[in-house]
Amino acid sequence: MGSVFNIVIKAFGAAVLLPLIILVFELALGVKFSKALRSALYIGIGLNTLISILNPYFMGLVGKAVSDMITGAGVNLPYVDTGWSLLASLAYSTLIGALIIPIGIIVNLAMIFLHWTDTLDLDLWNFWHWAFVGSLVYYATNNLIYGLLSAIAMEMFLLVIGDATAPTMQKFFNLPGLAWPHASGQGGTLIALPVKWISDRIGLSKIQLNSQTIRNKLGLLGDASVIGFIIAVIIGLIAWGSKLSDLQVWGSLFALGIGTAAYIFMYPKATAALMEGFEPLTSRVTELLSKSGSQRGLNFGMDSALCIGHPDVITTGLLVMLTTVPLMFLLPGNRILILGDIGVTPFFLASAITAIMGGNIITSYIATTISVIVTLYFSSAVSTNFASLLTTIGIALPDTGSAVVGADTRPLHGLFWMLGKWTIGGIPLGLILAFVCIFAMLFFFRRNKKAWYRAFGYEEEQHEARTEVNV
Amino acid sequence: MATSNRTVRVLVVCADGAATSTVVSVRLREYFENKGLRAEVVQGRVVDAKTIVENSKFDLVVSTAGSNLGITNVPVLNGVPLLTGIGKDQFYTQLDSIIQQS
Repeated sequence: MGSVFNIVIKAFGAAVLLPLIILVFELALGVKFSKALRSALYIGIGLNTLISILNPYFMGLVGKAVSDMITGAGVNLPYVDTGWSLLASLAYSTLIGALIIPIGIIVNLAMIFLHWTDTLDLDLWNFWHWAFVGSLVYYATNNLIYGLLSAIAMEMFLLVIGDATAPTMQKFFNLPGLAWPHASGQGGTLIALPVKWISDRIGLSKIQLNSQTIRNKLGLLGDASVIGFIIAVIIGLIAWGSKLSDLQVWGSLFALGIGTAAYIFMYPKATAALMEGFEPLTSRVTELLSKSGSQRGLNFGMDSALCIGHPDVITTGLLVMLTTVPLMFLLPGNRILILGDIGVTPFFLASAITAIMGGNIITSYIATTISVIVTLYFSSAVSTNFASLLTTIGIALPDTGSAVVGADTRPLHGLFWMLGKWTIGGIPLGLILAFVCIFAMLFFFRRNKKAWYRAFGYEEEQHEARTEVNV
Repeated sequence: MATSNRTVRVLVVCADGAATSTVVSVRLREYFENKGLRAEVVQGRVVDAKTIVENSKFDLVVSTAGSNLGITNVPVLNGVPLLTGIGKDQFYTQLDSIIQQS
């Protein structure tokens, strides 16, 4: 089955196949034909813009400079992150991606039925994270079942984490009835727990900084496009620093900076088309499931993007974004340049962390920075096979010399990728370990929920949530 | 009452100006279309909301990333009900009264 799918995806390409898959799902669930057709077309538009227009443009632009940086200056950062949309495109272009939406819903409903979770995940689009990890494992092990189990393990783990963090996050963000089983948003949660535990004991958690003051001081540096420009110019300076007497080099330097800023500005627009295409399916599933869900008092699983507007999250994200720039160049063993997601990854990682820390900027900053460091190492490791995997599924990439497209792999993605592909003598040790841990978590969480809520930052005496909703 | 030749201008903001704001925008456009109202729905990032509203005239702002945006001259609605479906009716009631007043 897998090889047939691979032939089909290679012949049609993701930009044709994913719209067809979504069209079939929508029609099966009773979405009106004209609406379903339009949504399928928009998915095609989004994918096409990302894969065939924006990505080749960006890799072509940055590739030359990164190549020169490696060969000329010996700074070995060959992998270029072009943003998470490419990862999502890859995820939905494999057999696992084609199956992830029905499988994800079935696993979720089964867990609800067994009272293993109180979260109904309505954020269908973000099932791609599980499919991404599952696809990486599938192609690494050449075993479809391992790939599927990795995706399912990640989903189950996130539903439990979603349950455990729900009271804290609902209160902090003032969004009752919701939960966030979102792979990137919860990426730093496991890192936040020990940081919080230590900070509570050494008194660090008591030192409060005013996030608004910090933000005002950052000014221009608070814009992701500006940071993208700066990183690109740094790359250019390292690559061509010895030739700065040549006016032409200055031209290339600024073209590189502006092109990068343009890419960071443009790629959310293409993503928006993709999201617009996904909307009827999400809307229909929400319609079908949300009523019985609210009767049972379930929390609805949502995108962590809902949390990123919170002033403390923005401040933490901005500070970590600025820290990421020197980290990329100075961290020993790092091989990836985070460019497309420079304004995304730190903010998503900061979302659950900041809530767990109760808005403490210092401890949130520490935990998010550690999460970014973990992300850099996982990204360096995953990227060694990422480009060849893209070619396997039919995503063509421009030839950019020593520079290669990389994958921004956040902590939980990396963790489940490692577990999923870890086999010894044909026994999937990593997967066994993952499921043992998940069932242990389920068992202990169900036994003493209150203790878990507290460990994840929930404080009963804490006064009203700090964000005011002026509705 | 809003007349048919007037255009309602709505700014929809979310964390990155791409994901959840798109979902809300699609649902708002559908709603306006069903009501026979002409509407222009603009998307943006939550950090830019204040600047955008200061530089251009909007009837209201809908945000999925917190409503505490420091905007005082334009009503700000919480757009989360349009994502979850919970409290959707109250949302549209508020929306209707804002449109009628403007």
